[in-house]
Amino acid sequence: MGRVFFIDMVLRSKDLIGTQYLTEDEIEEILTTAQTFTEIAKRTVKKVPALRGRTVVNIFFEPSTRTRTSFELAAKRLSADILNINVSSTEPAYGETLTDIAKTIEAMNVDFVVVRHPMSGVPHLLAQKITSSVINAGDGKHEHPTQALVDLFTIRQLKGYIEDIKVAIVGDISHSREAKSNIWALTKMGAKVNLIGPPTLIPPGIERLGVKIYYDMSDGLKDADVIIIAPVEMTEGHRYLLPSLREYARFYCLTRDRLNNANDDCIVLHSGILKRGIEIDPIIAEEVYDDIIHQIENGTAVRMSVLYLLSFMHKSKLNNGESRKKE
Amino acid sequence: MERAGKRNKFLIKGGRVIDPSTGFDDRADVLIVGERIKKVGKSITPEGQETIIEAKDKIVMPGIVDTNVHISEPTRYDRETIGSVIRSAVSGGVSAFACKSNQDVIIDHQAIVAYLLRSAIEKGLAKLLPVCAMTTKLKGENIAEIGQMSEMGARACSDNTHSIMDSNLQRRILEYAYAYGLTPILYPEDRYLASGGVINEGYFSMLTGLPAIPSIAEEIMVNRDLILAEMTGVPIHIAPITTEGSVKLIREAKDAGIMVTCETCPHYFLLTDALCKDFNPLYKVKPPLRSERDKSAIMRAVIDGTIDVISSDHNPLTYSDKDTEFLVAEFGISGIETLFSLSYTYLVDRGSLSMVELLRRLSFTPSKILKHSGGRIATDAIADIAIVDIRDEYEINPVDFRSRGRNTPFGGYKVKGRVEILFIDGSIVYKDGKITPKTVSERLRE
Repeated sequence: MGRVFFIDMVLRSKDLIGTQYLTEDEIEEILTTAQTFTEIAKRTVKKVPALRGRTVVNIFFEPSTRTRTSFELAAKRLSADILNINVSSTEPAYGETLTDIAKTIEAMNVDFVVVRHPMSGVPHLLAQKITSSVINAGDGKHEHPTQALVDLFTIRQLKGYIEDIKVAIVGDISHSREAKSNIWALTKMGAKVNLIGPPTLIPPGIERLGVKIYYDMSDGLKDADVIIIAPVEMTEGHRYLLPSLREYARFYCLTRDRLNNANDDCIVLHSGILKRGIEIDPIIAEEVYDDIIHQIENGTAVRMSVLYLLSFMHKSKLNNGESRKKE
Repeated sequence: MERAGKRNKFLIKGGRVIDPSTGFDDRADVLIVGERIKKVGKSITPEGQETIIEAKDKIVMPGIVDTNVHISEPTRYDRETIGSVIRSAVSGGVSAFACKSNQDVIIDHQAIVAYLLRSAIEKGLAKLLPVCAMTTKLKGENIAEIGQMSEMGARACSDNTHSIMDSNLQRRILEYAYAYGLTPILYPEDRYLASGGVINEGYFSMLTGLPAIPSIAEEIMVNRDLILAEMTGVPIHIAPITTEGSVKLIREAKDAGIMVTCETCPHYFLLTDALCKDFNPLYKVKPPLRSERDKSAIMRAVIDGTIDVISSDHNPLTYSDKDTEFLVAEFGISGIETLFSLSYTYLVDRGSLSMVELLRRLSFTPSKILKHSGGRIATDAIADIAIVDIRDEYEINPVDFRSRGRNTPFGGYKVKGRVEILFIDGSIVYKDGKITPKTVSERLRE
């Protein structure tokens, strides 16, 4: 823990809103710190006192099991107190305005707010309104930074490096915040990214991030070291975008034939609920399940790392405040 | 002449007088008697009863005519009332403005037209020119009673941002409204393409993940409306246009002799969609702020005259309408008070446009479209005159707005062109930051 003194220099913001706002150094620091936390999960006593006395609040305006439990576990392993608030939000009719929610949180003196919301930009606004650290656990179609960091961490763990690695992201890129966070983080770390999907599911303007777009899956998978599957769903808005999941599966399901275009030691990552037969061939799914399990295991370590590093931002802020008062 | 003693008499001396109707731009004196301008000329000798106003180094110009203003009386007094919008207008040098329907007030009945006109006349400051709806309840289903509303005083017709997707209905409305002399003001948006969108489609919609409105949503409708105008032979006004493609279509249509005018707003030639990347709802407007490329195309079109009118698209909103998630926040900018100063600073002061041309866009052409008598400084013209100081630079501060809506992204912008005095119908209604309203009885006594 002798690194503490320069750690708080590394992150520039009190919040983690998206990988688009992180620098290469910051990503590097988060991944390196996460490495030290992986072994905690292997101990009998899976707890360190790093965040003792701090409070983490999970506010989820959208249902989530994986991300929420992963954050909860991360906070608990760091000895923080954790509070879960689930707000059902089929509509913005949850009554309270965001400003009021922010003021309520601020009054409770919590240290971290982990927020998931169906609308893009909510963590961003919340971060401006409160002094606690805001961690984005997924907002609309904007970003899901911790998931991307988990993916990067897993890639580095299984492949050893990220620079120059070939990553293919397949699926509904338009509606996938994980995919967008991944694209930002991967391109910043020097990876080469191919996007694969039907044209209606690839957002216009994304080519400016330095990615290549393929509508043919076999072409896009050529020599890939990593395949990330972005989940596909048929929602109301999809009637303009996709005729059916059956047709999607016909062209974009990860089958043996298509996988053969990738490198032999290619790994497959997926962050949500696997749709076997649509996104991935059930047999391939069993073969690559180990990679996905790694990914879930790493989720806690990476989120511990994020909480831990942000806690220094918090502390230094507090100290500044106190020293100013003394003057 | 005996009765003239009771009437207002003002002599504005030594100002730089600009008359966009004739292109006159020179030092001259302006004599106002009663409601009208009696004489414009070099060194008019005072007859003794005039109040003399020294306007050396200042600009003497017709009051601004804003073609796109929304109010919320009588439903949402917290957003904007007729009183507050009128006070807001005169602070910005606006002597007349078109009042359009919006979500709060739908002007689809002659009684509403009468209510608006009467309320505005009671306030006695800037002139409210009602713009009636084209379809009842802005639903795009039945033609509204355009004839009766015109009779009551409506100056144009518009369904505000509810563009009419039914081309047959739109065609019939153009034909029908023509008989009553109302200019159709058409909002160009294909509602299917724009469905649910809040930000311009492109790099920044991808970045923020917000639902997008592509620029073709506008261009397709501009194109349709131009075809309808050509077919029916009815002059139309398209408001507002925001994209490079729309400019191109309108330029071609004008060359082909189609009778079309169009407008844009200061935010479309000053701001871009890049500003939405931090989810600040103050930048949420409809149509959305467009790309850098569109922004410069709009600027060029304003300069070369393809765009005939600059309006404010004044959409006053409360603090809580904007202090929320980008997706939930209301669309709109409160712009009537900054319309002149922003246009002057970024077009004339930067040297791209002459003062005469600017006032054609801000006063003369809008007057023609709205069948209003403003936009002129000449003998016998109505004395709606603004005296403007263009030397002092000041900072826009929304807190100083007289409008109830302080929702502007231009707070902190340094601008020139402060309105010092505004005459409406020959009397001073605004002077050095203070409003000097006349009461109804005072007006009746005249």
